Amino acid sequence: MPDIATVLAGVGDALSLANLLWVVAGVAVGQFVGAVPGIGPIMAMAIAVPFTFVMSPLAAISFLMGVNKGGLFGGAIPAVLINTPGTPDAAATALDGHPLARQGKAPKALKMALYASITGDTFSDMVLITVSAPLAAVALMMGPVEVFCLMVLAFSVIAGLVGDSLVKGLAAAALGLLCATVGLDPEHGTPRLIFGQFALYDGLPLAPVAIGMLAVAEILRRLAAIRGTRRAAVHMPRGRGADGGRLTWAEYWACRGTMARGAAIGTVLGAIPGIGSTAAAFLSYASARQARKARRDPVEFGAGNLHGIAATESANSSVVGANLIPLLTLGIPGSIGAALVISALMIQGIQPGPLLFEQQGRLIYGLFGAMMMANFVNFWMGQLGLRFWARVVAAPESVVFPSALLLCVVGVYMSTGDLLGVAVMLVFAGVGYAMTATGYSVVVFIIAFFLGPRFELSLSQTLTIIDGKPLEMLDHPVGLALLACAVAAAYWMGVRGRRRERAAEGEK
Amino acid sequence: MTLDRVTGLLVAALGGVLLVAVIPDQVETVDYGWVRPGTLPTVLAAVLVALGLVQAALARRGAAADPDDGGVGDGGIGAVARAALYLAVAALGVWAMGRIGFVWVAPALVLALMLLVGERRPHWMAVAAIVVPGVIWLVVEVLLGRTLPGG
Repeated sequence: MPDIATVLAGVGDALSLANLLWVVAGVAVGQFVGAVPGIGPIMAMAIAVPFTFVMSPLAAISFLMGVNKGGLFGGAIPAVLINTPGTPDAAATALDGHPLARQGKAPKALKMALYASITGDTFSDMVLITVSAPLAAVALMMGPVEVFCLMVLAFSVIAGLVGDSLVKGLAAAALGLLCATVGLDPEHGTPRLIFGQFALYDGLPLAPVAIGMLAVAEILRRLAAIRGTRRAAVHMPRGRGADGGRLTWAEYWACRGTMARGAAIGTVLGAIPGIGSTAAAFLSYASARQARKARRDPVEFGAGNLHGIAATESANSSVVGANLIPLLTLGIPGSIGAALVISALMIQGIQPGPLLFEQQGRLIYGLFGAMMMANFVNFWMGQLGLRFWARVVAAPESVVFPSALLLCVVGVYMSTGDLLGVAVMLVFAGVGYAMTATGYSVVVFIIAFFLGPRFELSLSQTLTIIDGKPLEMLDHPVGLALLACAVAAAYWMGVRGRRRERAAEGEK
Repeated sequence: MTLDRVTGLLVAALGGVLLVAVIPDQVETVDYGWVRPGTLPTVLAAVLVALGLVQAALARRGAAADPDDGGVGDGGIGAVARAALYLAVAALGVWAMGRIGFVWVAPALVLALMLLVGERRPHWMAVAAIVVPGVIWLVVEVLLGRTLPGG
């Protein structure tokens, strides 16, 4: 039990004016870089880490947490407004956010994204503050076998996203997995499918693939659709009373179950090192889609359903706090963002790990205070930012989309460090355009591509551990439980869901 | 022949080319271990062949991609051709950026795209071709100290 004086001293440090200004600066930078496709909060944190050397330890971590939290909401802004996710974890936000924007309800969609993001983030921060130690112990029980079973569970959610054609959905997943095999194979370390490009030893990078397929493909589609008319990129409703500009309390409250589920998924996956916010966002979206279908929601997912935005944003934002659970309790970074926080702590001469609470209690409770403060600042700056972004997208689409394409080129160049990454982005833009035009699910492709390397690695490790004998799985009850969940999820989302869809179509 | 049948055959052909030509040439042969370098790519290529053939066989006459999902019906073949043209212009611009530099090519790239989609208003062309690349250069090179393509 922590000493109350230490807790109060830490929270007092966090609430100082100087610390507040660092949090504000971090959130502002995060929201901006999150909104620019390709840059994202992780790159901003990586650039900022060396500069934190001159700050106090608390100010440094507060600033970085502000960047991380602001960036996760920032990614939703272009996803909603121009169907161009600023970060891969906001890809599912675009699925329902952009249709709402096209209906003239962009402010409603952005506010839902903001409120769901803050809700999920606050939930995971509360979990971090209260039960981080036991959760970290559970996360530590996840060995390679259990992680493999978790990957199978994550793949099973694809069954809920394949769309009208199961064959096309499976082909998209196979293609995504195939692209994920480019680079060194995990068991033998030999290069595969790199066509002589040594830069591909690490595989196809996620950012160019995701931005190419989701953002650039959409930019091409929107540019190709411009035929002489000079429209704004997004129609923004005028006046506070306009329906599209307001998100009512009733609308927010109606999404409470979806947000709770998303926050729980994000928190659990965030506590497990290496899974990440993109997987949490898609998992939450798929489960919310099925849950709303079961309740016969009149608004379909993909047509502008607020639950789709709430599910994605609550899940991806709740990963931030949960990522710190293994970091603060065990010294294991749960993500690249958490690894950057570790490097900032080590620059300051602080060693993360089990003794951190004992030796740096005041700093840790200061960090908790700063995280809660960052949530309020994120909320406040998000509201202010909506007016700024509304002005940006009020420009004609013939101006917005060529500019967005340029931002994608620069963002991907910065994230990969060479033009090969930009070339990969353009190739996958063509692939994404062709897949969308012929009815193959780009989202399924991205999920399979994202999970692919981890899936192959954990499959290889699992087969080695169990020596190829399936009965050895009996020694891994957590893994078996996860496999049972995967079978249930595939049945619930796939077989039963499709049966329900057919029944609903028959009724129409 | 329907679009679904054509795409099914294309997917099957892609899987076939991978199985016959690409994977044997681009994946090293290893004779030990549970998951060998070629295991997953080979399985996935075979799956693509099977799924492509199933799709081609099951395709209904007259069935096409859903225009609401951005299918080919959304703007027709003309929109596909325009998108291909814009992608080619972007690729040319990126290639030129690597040789001439971002500062010179970015305004030309944006201007070319704007002219191609029919934008002719001078103030908007100035905003997109001068202000946007200028702000990017200021933020990336001056504030962040990072290089831009060709820089």
